[in-house]
Amino acid sequence: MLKPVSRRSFIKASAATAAAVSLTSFDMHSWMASASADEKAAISKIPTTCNGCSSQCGMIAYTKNGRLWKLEGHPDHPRSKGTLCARGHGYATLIYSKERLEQPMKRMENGKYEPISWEQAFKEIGDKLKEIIKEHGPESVALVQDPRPTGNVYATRFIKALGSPNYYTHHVACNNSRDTGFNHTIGGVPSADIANSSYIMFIGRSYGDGIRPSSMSALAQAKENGAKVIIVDPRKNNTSPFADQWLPIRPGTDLALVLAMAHILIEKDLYDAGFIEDHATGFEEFKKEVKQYTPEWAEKVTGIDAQTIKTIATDMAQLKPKAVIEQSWRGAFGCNYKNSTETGRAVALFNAMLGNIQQEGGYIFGASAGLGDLDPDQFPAPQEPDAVKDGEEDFPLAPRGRGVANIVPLRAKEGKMKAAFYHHSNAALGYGNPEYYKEALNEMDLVVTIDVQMSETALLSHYVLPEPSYMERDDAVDGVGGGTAAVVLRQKAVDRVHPNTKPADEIFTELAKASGVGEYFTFTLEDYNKAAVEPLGITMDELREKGSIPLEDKKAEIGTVPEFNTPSGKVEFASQTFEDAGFNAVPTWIPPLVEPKNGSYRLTTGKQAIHSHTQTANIPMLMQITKDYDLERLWMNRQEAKKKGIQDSDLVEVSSDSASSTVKVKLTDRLHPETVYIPSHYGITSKYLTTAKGVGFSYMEHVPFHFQPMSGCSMIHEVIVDVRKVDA
Amino acid sequence: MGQYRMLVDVTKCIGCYSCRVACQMENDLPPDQSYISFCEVEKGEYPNVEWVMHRFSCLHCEDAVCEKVCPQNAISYSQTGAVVVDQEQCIGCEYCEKNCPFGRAKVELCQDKEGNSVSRANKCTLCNGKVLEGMTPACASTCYTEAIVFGESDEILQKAEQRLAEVKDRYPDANIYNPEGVGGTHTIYLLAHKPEEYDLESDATTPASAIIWKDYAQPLGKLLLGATTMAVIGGAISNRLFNKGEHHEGGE
Ligand code: SF4
Ligand code: SF4
Ligand code: SF4
Repeated sequence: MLKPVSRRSFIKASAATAAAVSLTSFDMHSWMASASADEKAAISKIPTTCNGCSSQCGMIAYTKNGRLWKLEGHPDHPRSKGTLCARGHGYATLIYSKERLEQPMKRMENGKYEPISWEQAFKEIGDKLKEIIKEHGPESVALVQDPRPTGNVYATRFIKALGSPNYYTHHVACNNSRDTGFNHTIGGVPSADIANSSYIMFIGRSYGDGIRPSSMSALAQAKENGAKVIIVDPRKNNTSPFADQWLPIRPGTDLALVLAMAHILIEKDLYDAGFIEDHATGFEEFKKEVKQYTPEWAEKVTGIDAQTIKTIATDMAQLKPKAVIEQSWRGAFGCNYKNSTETGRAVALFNAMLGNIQQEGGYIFGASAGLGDLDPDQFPAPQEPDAVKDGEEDFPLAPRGRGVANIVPLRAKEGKMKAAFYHHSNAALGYGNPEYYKEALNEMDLVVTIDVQMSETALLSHYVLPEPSYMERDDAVDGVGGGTAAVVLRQKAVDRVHPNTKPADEIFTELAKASGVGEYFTFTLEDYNKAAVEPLGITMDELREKGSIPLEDKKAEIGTVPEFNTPSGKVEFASQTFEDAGFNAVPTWIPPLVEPKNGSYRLTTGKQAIHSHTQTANIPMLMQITKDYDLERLWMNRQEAKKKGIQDSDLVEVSSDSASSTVKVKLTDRLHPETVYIPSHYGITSKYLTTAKGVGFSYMEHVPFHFQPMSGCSMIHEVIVDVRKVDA
Repeated sequence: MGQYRMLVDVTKCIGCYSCRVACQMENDLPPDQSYISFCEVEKGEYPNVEWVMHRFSCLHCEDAVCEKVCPQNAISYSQTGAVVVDQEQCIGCEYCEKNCPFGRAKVELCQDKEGNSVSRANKCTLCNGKVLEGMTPACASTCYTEAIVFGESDEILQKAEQRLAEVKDRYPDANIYNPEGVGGTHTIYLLAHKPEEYDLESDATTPASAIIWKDYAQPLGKLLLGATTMAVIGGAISNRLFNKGEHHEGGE
């Protein structure tokens, strides 16, 4: 006889809780207890957005009696489409972390951090800033952030109001190399129409590791439709269940592969000549250059046999325009190698040769939401500063708006950069060599970090200003571009746990006032949000209720090739801009900066699906997965390990010119023998982050402080290491 | 047979752990306890290597050993097809844990309504409460690759057969794991390799001893000796009769 089953009436207590090992675990548990103990709990659903990564998926937060219970993907958000990744579910527990920043902190004479009032923080920072600007000019001040909606409005306005051009973003250690390549060839970065494509090549990018739910489901759909999927990656990554073929390329040689594929299209006359004729310039020069890049040559460089290269290029040409080299993100050429910008150009141009731009199954430039802005008559905007952004002269090709963030520590060491604001950015561990960052930031007169936890960057700051978590605050309205653009809102799902935190809109407004530029900040977040939705014919009430609203009248036009955002308005196979900057007009083979030899390895890195940068490492819900399955281990090719007498899970020492780290090793046949691979989320050193501290190591410690010549990126894969077994 | 079934298609799993965390949130589990475990299988040698992630949770057997051995009758079948634990009845005796052929029932520290720490059996509920309210289990609804799908029993069986046919080329050893020895299960797995590769027994069964215990010895004993005494005796018997070796889990 079946009997009706009551809902769960007990909830689990963690084993760690009983032993009182982990305070965080205990507290995590007690909020859950109070969220679920009452079966008649008042359940609310609040649509908002995730901050687990830059995708910022729409999600529905469920609360019980005002406490977070669980999350679901927002069905109408273009990036979640109803599902969330592990971070989407777990990162939200940040709300109840016991290791959040709870009040403004100031570094005292003795190096210790002590709580101060907001009034004191604003006043002291404002006074110091005025003093620095008076003495060294506004160009001695910089602001760096990993952009989020409120920061996009307020932080950019703040630095401009101070009269400084020095606004920078985290992309220096992400995708600026690729973007530099794409911007100067096809005028921007489109998105591959994966779901409708028949032949998809991924270079370094792994949808299964750096998750965006809608991308992963699009790939699953493409596979179901019978698409052929190739992954080019020294590591057989977690997208491989959806791939037909793995090309284990020698790291850093993707450029050679793409140039050779272009060579085949030209040699066999397989490219879309009509497209080139109508929409491109410089093709003849390009043709001349790639003549030398034969598949046989590429085989020697990449380790992929010439026949495979020929077959793939030919097959792609046959299926064009529904064939595509996916645009990637950080992947293999976002910021990785000396040649990454050239790889970006080659990839963009290869797609152009397939004539797939703005075609179904190819590269699509999305529609944008077209948000409104504040009325400048009512709320005067600060003027564009006269000075040129620091770094722009050194790296004229780099994306202008984002700049080269690693210029800041460089100039600090030169004594030129005196003050820096870091907002939602752990630059000191994530953008460049941490030792270098430490020395540089210690040179500055004023460093201010605005964050939710005591990051490594916060620990190099004079002042640390706490924000509420993304689940406890309203953000600025945001537009999401794409096939169908959308307007979205991050809004408060639960009340602030720490009442003495302030959201970025309030922080920047107060900082501006204290720095004497308050006249540009007379508006409220609500004023901005109203202005943002105004042209869309949507009210804030509506947006609050729905969270994500697709804009049916803002759709990408498919089938019509747009005017390209380049000097010629065309696809630039040869670029005068590149030539003017002192580089070759057409993409040219450039070898990687360093090469492994004699049993040394290239240190490569990449994302895991459960973490983002270093920001999620201290979240018990996510870090426990790392701990359960030893995900912080260094990957090493099984045969290589054998040569060195290394066995699975042995402790090894990884040493480079910059650092030495100890970590457990994971032996695998999924990795090219020339490289060892380390996930990019570990090596937290902040003693305020006890869940994360001491787990794994940070690849960045091994990366020398250097700049990719074309884009100023961190060249995170240009590192050679030795690996040896540590005797127990 | 209950109404519903879940299919876990390991050939579509990318090992993203989203289901694990969604499940923990849904069920108020702390970070270090999970109803879902993962085990990865790497086969072949560089560069000809296949990698498969096996996401594993309670199978919800039709003839569930745990249901048979529980001296408290705390484990029962829901009309959805789920095998569920009533934690108010559970006394934490661990018979279920010791006898589950798949190592899925676990007795762990829980907190009761008064906030006391107590040992209780805990495992995947097949999101029974959600399903009774007409919703999809949390893990299935967050899986973007549809490695986990949930639906009417027969449709899911068909889906599994269809997927099996589709993946046979790439994984010649692929099979549907729905062991008859336990009467079939409500979570079935499309495995890419032989069950043994995932530490599963091809011929997992409900031991006759468990059936004898449940259907004959226990009711009789209870009648003669009273429930509590029988539970204590049962502890010894149960361990001796049906004890299984440690189930191995791990990998990435
Ligand atoms: S991909 Fe994951 S972490 Fe990123 S926004 Fe979406 S749910 Fe959040
Ligand atoms: S959500 Fe799906 S793909 Fe991700 S681990 Fe779970 S079953 Fe695998
Ligand atoms: S069915 Fe529900 S309880 Fe079972 S693993 Fe999935 S989410 Fe967890």
